[in-house]
Amino acid sequence: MTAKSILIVEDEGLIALHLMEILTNAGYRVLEPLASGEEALRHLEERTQPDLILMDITLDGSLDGIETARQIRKRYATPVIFLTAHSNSLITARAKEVSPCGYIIKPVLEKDLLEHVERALHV
Amino acid sequence: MNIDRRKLLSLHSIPVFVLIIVILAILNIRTVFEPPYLVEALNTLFVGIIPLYIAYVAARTFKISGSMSILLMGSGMLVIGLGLTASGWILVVPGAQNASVTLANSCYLVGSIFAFSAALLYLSWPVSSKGGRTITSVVTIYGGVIAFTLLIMLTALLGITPPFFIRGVGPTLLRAVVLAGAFGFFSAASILFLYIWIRRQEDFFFWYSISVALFAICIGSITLAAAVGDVFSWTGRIAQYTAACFALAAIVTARHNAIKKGISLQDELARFFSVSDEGYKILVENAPDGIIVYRDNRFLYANNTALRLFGAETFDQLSIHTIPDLISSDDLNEGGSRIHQNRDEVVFHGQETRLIGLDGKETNVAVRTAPIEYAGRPAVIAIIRDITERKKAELALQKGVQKLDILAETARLLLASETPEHIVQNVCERVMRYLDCQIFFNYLIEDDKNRMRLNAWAGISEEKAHEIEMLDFGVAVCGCVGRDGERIIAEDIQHTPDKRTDLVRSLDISAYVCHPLIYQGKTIGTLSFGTCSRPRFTEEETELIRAVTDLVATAVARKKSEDAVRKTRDELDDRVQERTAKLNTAVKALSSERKRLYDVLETLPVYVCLLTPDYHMPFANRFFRERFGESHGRCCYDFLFGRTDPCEICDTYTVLKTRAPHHWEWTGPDKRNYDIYDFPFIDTDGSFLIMEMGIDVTERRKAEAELEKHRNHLEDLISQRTVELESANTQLREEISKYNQAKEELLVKNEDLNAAYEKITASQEELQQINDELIKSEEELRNTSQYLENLINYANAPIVVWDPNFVITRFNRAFEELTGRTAREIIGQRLEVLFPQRYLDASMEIIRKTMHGERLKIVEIPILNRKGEIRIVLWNSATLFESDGKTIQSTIAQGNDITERKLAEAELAKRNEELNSAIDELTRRGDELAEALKEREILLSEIHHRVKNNLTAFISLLSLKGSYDETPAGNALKKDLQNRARSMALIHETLYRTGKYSQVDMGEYLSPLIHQIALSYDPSSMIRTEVKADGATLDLNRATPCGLIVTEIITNSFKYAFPESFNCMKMRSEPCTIRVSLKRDGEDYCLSVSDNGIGLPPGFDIRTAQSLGLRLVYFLARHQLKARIEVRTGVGTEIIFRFSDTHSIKGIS
Repeated sequence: MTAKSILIVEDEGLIALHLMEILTNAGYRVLEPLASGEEALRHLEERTQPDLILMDITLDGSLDGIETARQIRKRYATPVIFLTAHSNSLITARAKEVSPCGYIIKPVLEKDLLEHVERALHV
Repeated sequence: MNIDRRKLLSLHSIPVFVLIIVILAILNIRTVFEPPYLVEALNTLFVGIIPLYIAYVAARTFKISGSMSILLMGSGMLVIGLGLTASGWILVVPGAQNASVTLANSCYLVGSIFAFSAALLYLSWPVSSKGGRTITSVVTIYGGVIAFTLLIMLTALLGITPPFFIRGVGPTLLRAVVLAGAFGFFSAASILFLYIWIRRQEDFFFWYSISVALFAICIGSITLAAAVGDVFSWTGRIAQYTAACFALAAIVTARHNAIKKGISLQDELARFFSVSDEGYKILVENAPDGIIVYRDNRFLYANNTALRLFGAETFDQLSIHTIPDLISSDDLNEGGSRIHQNRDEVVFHGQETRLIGLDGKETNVAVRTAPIEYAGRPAVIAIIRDITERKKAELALQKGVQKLDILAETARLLLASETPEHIVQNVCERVMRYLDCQIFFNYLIEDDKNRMRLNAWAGISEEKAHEIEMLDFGVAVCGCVGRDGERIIAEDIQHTPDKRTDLVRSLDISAYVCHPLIYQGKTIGTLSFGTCSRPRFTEEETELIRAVTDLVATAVARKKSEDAVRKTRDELDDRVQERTAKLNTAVKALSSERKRLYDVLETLPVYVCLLTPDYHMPFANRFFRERFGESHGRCCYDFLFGRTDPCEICDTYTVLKTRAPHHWEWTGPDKRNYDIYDFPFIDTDGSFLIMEMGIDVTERRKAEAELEKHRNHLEDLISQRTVELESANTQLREEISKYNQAKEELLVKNEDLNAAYEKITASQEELQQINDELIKSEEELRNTSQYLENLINYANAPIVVWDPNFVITRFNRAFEELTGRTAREIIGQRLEVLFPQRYLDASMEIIRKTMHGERLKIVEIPILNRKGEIRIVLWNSATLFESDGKTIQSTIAQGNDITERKLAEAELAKRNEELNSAIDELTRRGDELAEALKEREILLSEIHHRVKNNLTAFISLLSLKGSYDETPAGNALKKDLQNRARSMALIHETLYRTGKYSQVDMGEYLSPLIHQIALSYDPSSMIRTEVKADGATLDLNRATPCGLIVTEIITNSFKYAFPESFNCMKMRSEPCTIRVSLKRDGEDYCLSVSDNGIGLPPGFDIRTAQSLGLRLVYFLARHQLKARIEVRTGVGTEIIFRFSDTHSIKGIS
């Protein structure tokens, strides 16, 4: 059975590297992290679909994570988990509109991350 | 020492035998009991077979271990076994008592020497534990022992040896000396073996020590024997039989252990003696690391440290277990990677694992194994290092890092949030979990009220939270902290009768810390944490709470300040917009008015100009320009008259001195006369100007001159005609008189009458002629008056004439237009009808002065027109006299309507005032906005300062002893972490130091960064560093990864590029140098990090590098900078990163 593949969309390099290590150590196949929503959409269009996307809300470029997830949801069935430092109600409400599989507040704890990922993949 | 009951009982045997001997000596019993063959049988059984068996085992063990100690022990047993067996059987030979005693006692001495030598050798003679010896050694020694025994036996039987026992005399002195020696050697050997047992804790040596001691007692007892078979002999014999049993017990014990371990007896004994080399033994036994030897997962050896790690007091306790029994099942190979079981053998690969001790205690250890040959067979040796303390240190470091993570994340969340008071809930829940707390409360003080409102909480029900939502000052711990601004730490609350802690006591809290939220000296709320799991917080925990509290205080206060600034800014924006709109309207109106004014000025039939004190003319209307041309920035005297100096006769600048209006008359360069009115004028910028208005009065002057001329001519003519008329009248009267005289004479003389009549007729004709001339003169005069009438009527300026009774007699068309009244309406009315009621008296007062001959000169008198509007008119007047030159005939006044100018001036002044007011308001608002911006910049500077301080605190924490493993690897890790944190701290320091909060000056940033890293790796400054990044600025999103990349690469250069064997001057013809440059390259930035060291190893590929540093470099460059990476390895190493200068816009994520 092949390992599940996960795409990380995160503009902060150190955080992306940390997430990649946690998930790789947990046995997942982690694709090369991307820093902007535009890159993520291009990746999904041109390459194979990952089993799960970890999406930061604030990203480089003109698209934020929520808008990127909205466009992904229109075209693909890939589940998305949001990663963010924001926890205010406005952003949470916006994020809920695109029905994500999870919402993880930074800094990410390894246990929380793996639980969310596991749940999202089983769902 | 481990002395169990058996050993204790066995030890008692020694004093028991000593006591028996003493008692026998006291009782002096001399009974002899020597039945035939009893001693022989007993000797053969106890001191024959048993010692020989032990000698056999020793020989086999020697083969395995090669230990001379075991061989000497075996030799001792062999000589005792042979000697005592033989001596027993010799007794059956008649008269062989001396031979028997000689053989037995000699064997005792030799056996004791062997025993003592064995013990001494064990302790002092290092023998290689590798491999066994050949049988030759055994044959040689054992053969020698047998030969010696036979030799003694034969020589004793033959009587060659000196006698040990003489029948009828008893033991000889020689026997006493030999036995004393044997006693001494056995006693010494016993003590040494006991010492060995104490050191090794191997029971074999304990039993052997007892055995040797009893042989010594045996010697002592038989020394006292006076005859063979007396009680001392039997006591000695029993002692030696017991000694043989203990020797056998030593072997049996070893065998029992061997069976338990699944090894042979020889292996077990070889273990005792193969590691008996004291030099190694002390080293191994006292080694700080645990050392075990095992085979087939069974322990063959364990040193003291290993015993402690496995929770065993003796090796025997440990030896009954197998290796897998004592390793955490999680670490055993079941698909894991740490330990592999290979053919029933546990093989460690140098990784860490956990031992489960016999006492159940779990110990973290690092294990390294190696195959060895032990006791002649393959085995495994394992070095076990206790890494519990290191693990604890790592855990502490991890906890510290976690704490700093929490602090850093808390700071980031709070400072990045638009609503930090909402973030507090999330942040404090994380801190609460980290501190193992069960509750927290965050109160915020309500403005201008002595109470606080619960902003965030955890650990209590909604009902309870609602109950304590509002808290007055002085109530409970939080209320006291909010009121006093001082921290309160409550400990052991359940046993402390402090009333303030009633609330938290009711929640089962046992320790509680409440910190005030203080910002710029003002308390803005409280933050408290409570736990029921322990009675007090550690100092570290309270420090964390204090740090979190400071961050929350800063964030909440910052939010409040930002809200206030935002509100002020919005209000200011609104007001600025409102004012701007008003100002625009005013400016538009003003502009319109100005245009209208300019239009008026441009269309005026007079000239209007503005003159500066330095004779320049910033404004001139069209009339002026048409008359005199453009000034083109030249002085008035220059472009008007071509002069180089001001005109001496110019009165214009009188205004400059008097600051009052001035009126004069001027003849321009066009030779025309101008009536000049100069007024002081303040320009919009406050500068003083002169406004000059010139009315071309040339025609008027000409008309006046002409009028004067005609009037004079008329007066002359009238005077002349009057004289002529009077003369004619006089002449006529004379003629009439003459006529009458002539008529009388005619009457007298008729003829004369006719003549006279004719003369009269002629005179009448002449008179008619004169009369015609007079009529003609009157006609001419009438024509002249008509001209003057027209001149007055059609003049552009309003002209009015009144008689001495102030009745209006003339009223020209310009005046009709001014007043809206016709001349017909006005002429004949009094002058008062022209003036508004409220100015009437003042106006008439001025008018009356003209009746005294005064002239009005530029006098302002308002006029009321038909519509009821008041027009402001400047008046000039002249008084007309009768022909006598004294009687006032009438007064003529010419006006100039300046109402529009006045209105324009008033409006201009009003607009100027409004404009100045708006400018003042804008200036004030601008100052307020600048102040708000300044406050915001100070706040930003404070935030960056705090972030930098937190990172600096993290660097300091890493420097604390105990925060890291004080090993070379731990030190290296500490340095790396410190330099990474330092690179991030310097970013924030550069931002607040340069005062640029969105752009990082990379020259300012990189120089101190590289200097600090150089200090940590090259304190003696052997390696030169060069930085070139002047003028390069990057946004924060790029500066941070750039800093980390530079940090990692130059750290590698310091560590690996310049080994001691590398001579830079020789290889590179220059000192060892690390260079960093950041510059623009077209549309890109080019970051280059290089050194002139030994270069990279062959086949190096940064994409596949495994070290954390190079992984960070590659990942950050690719992921965050989107850089193209180029590695050059010509001279030393150079890594170049090219990335776009397009600034990405990024928020807080």
